[in-house]
Amino acid sequence: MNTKGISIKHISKNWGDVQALDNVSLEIEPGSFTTLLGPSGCGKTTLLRSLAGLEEPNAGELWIGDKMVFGNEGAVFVPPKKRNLGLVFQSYALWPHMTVWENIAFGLKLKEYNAQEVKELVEEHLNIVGLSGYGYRYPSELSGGQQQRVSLARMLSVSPEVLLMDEPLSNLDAKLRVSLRAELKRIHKTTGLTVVYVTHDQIEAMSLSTHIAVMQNGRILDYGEPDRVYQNPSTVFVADFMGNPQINLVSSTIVEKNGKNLAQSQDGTWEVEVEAFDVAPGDSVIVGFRPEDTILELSDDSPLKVDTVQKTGPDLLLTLLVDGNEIIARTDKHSGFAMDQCVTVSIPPELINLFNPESKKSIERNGSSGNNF
Amino acid sequence: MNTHSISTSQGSGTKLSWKLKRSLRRLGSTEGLVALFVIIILIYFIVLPLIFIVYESLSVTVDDLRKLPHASVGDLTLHHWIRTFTSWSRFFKPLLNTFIVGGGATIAITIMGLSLSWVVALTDLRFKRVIGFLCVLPYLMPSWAFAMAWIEVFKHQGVGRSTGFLTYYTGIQAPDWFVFGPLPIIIVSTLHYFPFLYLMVKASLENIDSQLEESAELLGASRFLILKKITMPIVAPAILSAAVLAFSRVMGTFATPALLGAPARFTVLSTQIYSLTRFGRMSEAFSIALALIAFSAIVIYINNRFIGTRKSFATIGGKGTKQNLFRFGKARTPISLVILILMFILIILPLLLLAYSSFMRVVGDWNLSNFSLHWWIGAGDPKLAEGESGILVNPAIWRGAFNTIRVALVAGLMCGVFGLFIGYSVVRLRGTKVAYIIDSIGFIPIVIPSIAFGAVYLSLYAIPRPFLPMLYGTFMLLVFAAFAKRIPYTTRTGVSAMHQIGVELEEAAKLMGAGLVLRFRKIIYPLARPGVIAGILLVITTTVRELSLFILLMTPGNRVLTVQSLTYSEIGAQQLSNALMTFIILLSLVLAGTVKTLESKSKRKG
Repeated sequence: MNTKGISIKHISKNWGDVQALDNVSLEIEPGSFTTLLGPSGCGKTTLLRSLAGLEEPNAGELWIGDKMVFGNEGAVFVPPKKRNLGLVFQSYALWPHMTVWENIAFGLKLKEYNAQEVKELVEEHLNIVGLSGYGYRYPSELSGGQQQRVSLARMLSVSPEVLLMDEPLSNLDAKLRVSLRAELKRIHKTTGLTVVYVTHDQIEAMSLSTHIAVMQNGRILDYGEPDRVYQNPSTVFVADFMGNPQINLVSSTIVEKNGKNLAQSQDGTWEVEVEAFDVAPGDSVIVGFRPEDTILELSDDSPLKVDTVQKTGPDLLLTLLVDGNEIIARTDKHSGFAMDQCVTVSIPPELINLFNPESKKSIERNGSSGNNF
Repeated sequence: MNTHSISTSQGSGTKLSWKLKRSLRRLGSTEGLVALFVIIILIYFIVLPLIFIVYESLSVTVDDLRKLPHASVGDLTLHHWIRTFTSWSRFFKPLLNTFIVGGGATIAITIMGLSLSWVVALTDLRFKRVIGFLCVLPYLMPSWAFAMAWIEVFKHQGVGRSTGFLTYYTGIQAPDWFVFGPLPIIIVSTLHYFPFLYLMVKASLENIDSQLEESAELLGASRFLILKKITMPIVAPAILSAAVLAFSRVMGTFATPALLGAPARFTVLSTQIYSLTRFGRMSEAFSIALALIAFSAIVIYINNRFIGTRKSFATIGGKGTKQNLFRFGKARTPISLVILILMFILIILPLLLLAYSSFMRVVGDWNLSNFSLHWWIGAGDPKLAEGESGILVNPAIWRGAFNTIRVALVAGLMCGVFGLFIGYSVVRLRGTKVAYIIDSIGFIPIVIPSIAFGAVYLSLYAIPRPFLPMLYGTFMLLVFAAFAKRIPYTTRTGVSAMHQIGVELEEAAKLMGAGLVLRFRKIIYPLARPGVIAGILLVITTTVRELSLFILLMTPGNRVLTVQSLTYSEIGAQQLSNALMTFIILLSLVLAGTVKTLESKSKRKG
């Protein structure tokens, strides 16, 4: 497969006073599925459009494979059509006055394939996206999901070296999103293409990607494999952004008990062992743990009380008040917890994260090299 | 409980009586009452006049008795239709001329409107604000302002007029066909109507999702190919639609062909209706009016059926990324300057010359020594223009101005209130036949050219009619005509205003016991007010510059300014006519400016 990796080196972009991208660097491996994840306005779309050549950064270098497409202080700028990449838009951007067939054939004709090859390639790609027989229809006669498939086929048909996608599923309803996610995954597997994918939906990012780059305010805060980013986020922002329900964050102080370091909530109602971390008694920390990683046990002596119970179907979501703030625990629907029960909350040591309350960055474990990329 | 017992006891008849009761209940409801009122008004002011001209064109009049000895007055006859629609000079020649003028102007409008909308919307042209303003300015003025300016510039003794600007300064006498006839009508109509296409196409170009063009760019298309294969096809329906509507406007226009066609004996359908009416041959005038209405209706039907809806490419609300503007590069400033100067020569210069000619004491003498305020503030001089005094000190003009504003104001208020009622019944009864009928009738006046509309009102109310006294020569006749002709405008603003008022707001008041009048006063009107006011202002601004609708309805006692201006031109008092036109243009611009300011204010509020 003729796919390329991407190097983003110190890219900055600003519109007047607004800093859209602030010295962003990222190495994207060939054949990977990399998601730029972040809230709206974080710069992810600007970065994607810069890759496509639809925006011109103010500084830095962009490489696709071993070809520089932007750099040398702007002296090098390869126009979009020479970058050999595909871009799928949120709004599908299908040409409304052309049939599905014509939409896909447009790029092929520009690549000077002959009529027979165009016909074969259009049919092949309609087949790949499961829309054989829809060629004669106009975009307005298709559902949103079908339109997005056509948009994908249109960009895949010209065999790009890299495929870019800008929130391609955001205009679709929830059910369709799940099925198209599976389809995107299948297409990524069969084509082996390098995909750069932009979304604000962390579930999409988790389920699709081989790598996730979490962005905020024009910077990349964390970059790595989805499981790592989810389980050991590099900053409080990343921890908070990933996961629904959100991660629990409890402001605590390190205390020593029986020779072991414990993180204790400010009101003293809850504590957890943090032996694995490089901290000393008296330190202030933020303890972060995921709702599904909690272990609850009934205990009449515990000062923690179940405040509310929500049934979601597969799970129970319990809220407890620690230090006046809610923490959420997710347990099995058969666990049978009820309101006003007193419980203890513990967390397996390897699933605990500690953050520095000032820098908001994660605190390293003893002996680990950390995940600060 | 009552209905229940009836429905069980009456077997097969129950369904019908249920339905009847339900309809009656509905009719008795607020929506029903308002709808009933609206329909009655619409029938009285739009449907009956239409039926009336069909009937009049098909019945025997006193004048016909000579030719139809066996008939008696009021009998049905095809006499007028046959006389009209088999005649070359009466019908087919004006028809052909109408299509020549309409077709020629439409082509020119499309070229001019399209290129200007492209440079303003999609390039990095300089002076965009000024050029954009010059592109809508003609539309805010009376349609025949450019026709009068044309005459001032190109007239000469060779065509039986005084010396124009061109001849005075260069000695060149423009050929007759250039001064009067189809060509100047086409040029002048183009200058007046191109803004219409410009605005529609520009809006369409600006609303294209730029991602459609970016996709093509990524796939390797050049800028020219993108323009040809993506941009233009997407806006094509808008262009076509605007062109078709512009054609129907030019077809129905009266004043320009009257001023520029008549001296060359060049007649179009609208001027033919006028002269037939002037000669009292109403039945034939009505026959031609019907034909004109039919053509107009066909054109608009074609637009709505085949262009407007099916092929409209509503763009999906993507991210509103900024359009990538076409760059002229080094040519940017020169090109911008050329366009700016060209627009200045085409739009501003004629108007300046028109205004200047009103300061010439002796007609045809363009020398500065002839400069005079006589026609503006001078007392009457028996040697000039039958002793008429300057327009600002002329009581007849002040009466005309007062009359113009009074008609516009009353018609505007009536339209505003009535538009709210139309909006109320159409929106509240959405999906029912009643709403459809109201909506459709409310649209009809669009397809009736103003001159035909005036002719109908002239005949219909020349004698007393049920509920109304004889209206000929009265102020109210002008008001009714202006009101009825502009119902489509207020339908649009009224419906869109009502769309924004949820039915729950009114229902909540209903549950607290508020009656119909109270609900309109306290809930509906305050919420719909911006829309209602917009509708009123639209009617006022367009009525002030209206001529075709009123020209047939005029009597010396109830003149409006536009008609006064044309009358001065007819009696040879060209400077007075031009002075008055200048005054009307200024009035129109002030009104349009006021509307714009009010609109942007209310937008900021809401």
